[in-house]
Amino acid sequence: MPFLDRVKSWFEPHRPLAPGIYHYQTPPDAPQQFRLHLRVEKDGRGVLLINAARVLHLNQTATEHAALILQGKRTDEAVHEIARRYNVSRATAQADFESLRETIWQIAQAGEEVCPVTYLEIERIEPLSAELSAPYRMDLALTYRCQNDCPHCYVGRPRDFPELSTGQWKQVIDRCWELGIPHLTFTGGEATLRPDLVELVRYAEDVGLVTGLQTNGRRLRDRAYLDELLLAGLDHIQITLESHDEAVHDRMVGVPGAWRETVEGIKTVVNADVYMMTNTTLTTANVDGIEETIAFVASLGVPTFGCNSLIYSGAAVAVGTGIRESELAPILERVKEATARHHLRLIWYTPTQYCELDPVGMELGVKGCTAAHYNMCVEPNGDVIPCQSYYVALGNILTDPWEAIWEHELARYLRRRDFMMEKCYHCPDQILCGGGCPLYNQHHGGPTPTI
Amino acid sequence: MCKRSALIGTTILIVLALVAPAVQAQDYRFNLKENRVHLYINHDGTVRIVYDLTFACDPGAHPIDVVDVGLPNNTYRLGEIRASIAGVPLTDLSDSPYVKPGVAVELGSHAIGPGQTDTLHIEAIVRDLIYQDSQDAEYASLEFAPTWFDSDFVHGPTRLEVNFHFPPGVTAEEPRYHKQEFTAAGFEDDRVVYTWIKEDASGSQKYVYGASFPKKYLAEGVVQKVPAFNLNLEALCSSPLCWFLLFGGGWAFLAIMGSWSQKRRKMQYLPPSLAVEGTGVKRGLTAVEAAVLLEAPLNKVLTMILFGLVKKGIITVESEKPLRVRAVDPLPQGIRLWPYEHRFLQAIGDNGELVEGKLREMAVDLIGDVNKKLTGFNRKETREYYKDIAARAWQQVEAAGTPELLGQRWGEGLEWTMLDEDWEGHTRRVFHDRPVVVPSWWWGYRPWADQVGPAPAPAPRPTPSGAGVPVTLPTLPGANFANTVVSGIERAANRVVSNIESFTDRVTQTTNPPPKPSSSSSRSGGYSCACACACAGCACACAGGGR
Repeated sequence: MPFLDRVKSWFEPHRPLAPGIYHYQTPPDAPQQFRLHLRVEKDGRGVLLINAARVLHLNQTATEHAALILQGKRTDEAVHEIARRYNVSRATAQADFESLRETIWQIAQAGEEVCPVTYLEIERIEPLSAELSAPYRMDLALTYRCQNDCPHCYVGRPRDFPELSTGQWKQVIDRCWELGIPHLTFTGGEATLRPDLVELVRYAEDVGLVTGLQTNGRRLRDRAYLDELLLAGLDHIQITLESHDEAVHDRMVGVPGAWRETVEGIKTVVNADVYMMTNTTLTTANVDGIEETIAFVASLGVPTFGCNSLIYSGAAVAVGTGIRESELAPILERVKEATARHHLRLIWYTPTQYCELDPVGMELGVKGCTAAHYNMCVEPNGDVIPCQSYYVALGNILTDPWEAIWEHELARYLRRRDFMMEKCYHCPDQILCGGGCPLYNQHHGGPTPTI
Repeated sequence: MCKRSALIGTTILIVLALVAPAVQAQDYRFNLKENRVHLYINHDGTVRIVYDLTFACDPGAHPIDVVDVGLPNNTYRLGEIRASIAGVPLTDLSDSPYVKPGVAVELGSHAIGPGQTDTLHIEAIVRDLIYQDSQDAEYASLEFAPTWFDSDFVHGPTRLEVNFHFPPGVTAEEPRYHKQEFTAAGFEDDRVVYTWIKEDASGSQKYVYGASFPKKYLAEGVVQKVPAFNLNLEALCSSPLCWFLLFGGGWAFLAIMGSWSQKRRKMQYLPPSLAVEGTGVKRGLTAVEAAVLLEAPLNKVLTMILFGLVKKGIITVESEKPLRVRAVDPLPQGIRLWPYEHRFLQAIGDNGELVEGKLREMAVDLIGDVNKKLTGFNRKETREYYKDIAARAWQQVEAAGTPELLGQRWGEGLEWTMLDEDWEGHTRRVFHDRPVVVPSWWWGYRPWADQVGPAPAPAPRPTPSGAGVPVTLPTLPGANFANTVVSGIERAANRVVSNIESFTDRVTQTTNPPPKPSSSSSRSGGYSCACACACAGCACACAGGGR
């Protein structure tokens, strides 16, 4: 820097931290493992993600403290830096730094059992209300090829859809990191059909991202292959299992013999050191035996049972096995009862209209559409779509500016929840519900975006 | 924890509408029945504050002839203030000598006499009330505390209603409330309105409400910034520092300038704040679950369950000492029992006594269930919500107009009113001078009353029981009734377990064990899926599962 510029810089006002991402991972020998990602937004505010699951929203000052915490600064170093950049006494800066560090560590170490809203009396904001510059999670649909042929599959693209090369996918991963997205899931189609999956997982982990895999599990019965993925750093795995009944599962995935391979895959993963869960799509084809399916999942040693209802996209639009939202409550009561009986953790995914199915009332958690907000999806050719099931391209992540993708009219339409129906406008549950799933609504006579 | 709470408590830029206690004189005594205030936030940054204060002057007290109303700051102009009572304009207005800043309104011939109730209407325009939001550079923030009165003068509950009318153009989804979630939101004259209502507020307490909204709806330059410091020139010039600055050496001047320059470069420091997405109040808890949440003593919780089952006609109490109960067998069809009620029934031994080990297991599970239900919900807000329900349950009882209705409402709301920490005292106050028809279920608790207690003085009247069989219910003088139920419930609470301290210790050893680290994995991010969160308050990204 030229001398004059340097002198000039001494007199320029300090500015908030530049946008970017900070990453912290506990040392391998730490008694409790966790990862922290801090995304600094353009205005200096921050989003701190703990294990890519717990999200804290920070004001500018807290963001600056958190960045120093994640960089491992000692208290005296942090206090010096804060007092240099802010009009604050050292005593205040020190008290705030230590208090914030204690709080963040407390939340990170508490794990899932301690909810910060409930127990730590952290200030709260309304669910699904955060204003972001990029999602928390990006799903990478590496390919639309798949060994299964589910008649209810939501993929709305041909199987020979163009695919990016390994190098291009690495660029996508780099781009996600630059945007401050801390969490990737590899999906498809069937992501394990890509021979470079292990390489991409390793690359993403080396960059600092948390990675997951959504799969039919058939390739994972190969323990050596699974070990490769885990050594590459894969953090979590979700395997789709439609039924305990081999015939039902095979019918639902359209391939005889698939059930055996999937169950073998589940058994292999359960025995490995990785967070895993299964997921089941509740349809008229498998719901009668759902208790038995849950019992079966538990018998395999799976800790968490996930389920959702039919996603009205791709082939699923015409499959005819969907269950209306208004009919789901008694089914979910059965699911709750069965998972509780087998000591399984239950995760329900589907956003519904709360007047039809109220997930908060049923203690299933807040479920609202998070497409183009908390999560998005990159298609095999690099196009970004609002979520894995909403097949309208907002732009290409490698060739289009991110702002154009994020601020695309459809993305804004979804974030603004313009797909809500008239009956929602004065509904007290509007904030949490947000009108349910736009794809379900479109299929059942609700509004369709004219974008 | 205290430090953290304090920290968070100051994270939102304070733009308090500071008001001070009002009203003078020693024998004023009144109930502020309603304090309704509307704040109209205007494009030019002014805020029109419109109060409707309903006073009920106590019989025998000094007439309310002047009212001092606090205002947020001294930017108001006396000439702009409008006041009226019963539609009659009041013109004798002055700066209050007691409330600063504030205005004194002389009621003159419209003074509110002893035993009378009337509403004072007052409007004022204040400026410099809207500040920069600490969380969002694009937002402006307003916090406001409605006027309150000295506790020497005001008593009883106040219905407090605060309305923020956001500037024209603000859309429904744009405003953000601060700590206290609004009670209702709507539109009025094309403006978004947030309304906070507290039915049982205290007229002598300060309540703060706040909200933020995009500052683009305000004229440029009207949003206030928190001053970094206040320069008091008068004080400065009278100090030696002034002379030093004037006559001091050049090096000192340069050093100060350098320091000043560095300080100028620095950014404004706001207290760090963390926020988590979460839901507010967990609705739908039963009174028993609410009692657990409110950390009521466990014998009280068990007594609530006992009386809930008595009310449902599922058990009768056969003796008090030792406490022996009898459950109907088989259970009647169509009666819904909560899981803890089932467990309570299972804790009844063969001789009718309660088996403490089983009660303890029930209590442990009940506490666990409540904690699980609260996951993701704000515990503090939920506690306030259920305290409010308890207060409203009492109000419903108090409002009953006939002995029959009084007994009926008391019975229906018993578990909710029992959330009141002063349940016994409240019961005695409510019933001390009112006759009451004893609800039929109460005799499920006192089938042995003839042997152990004074016979009530009945005024028999036929009343259908739950099963449709006519029974004769007595009307008791309220004081007798209060004594009966208070002592009955106290006895039950004292005997439901043999040693409540030991019982509680053994329960809490299980529910509040010494902290243990959660299960750890040698892999990082062991549960690192944003979807892998069923916590009610955490916004889960819609999964990608589902194929």
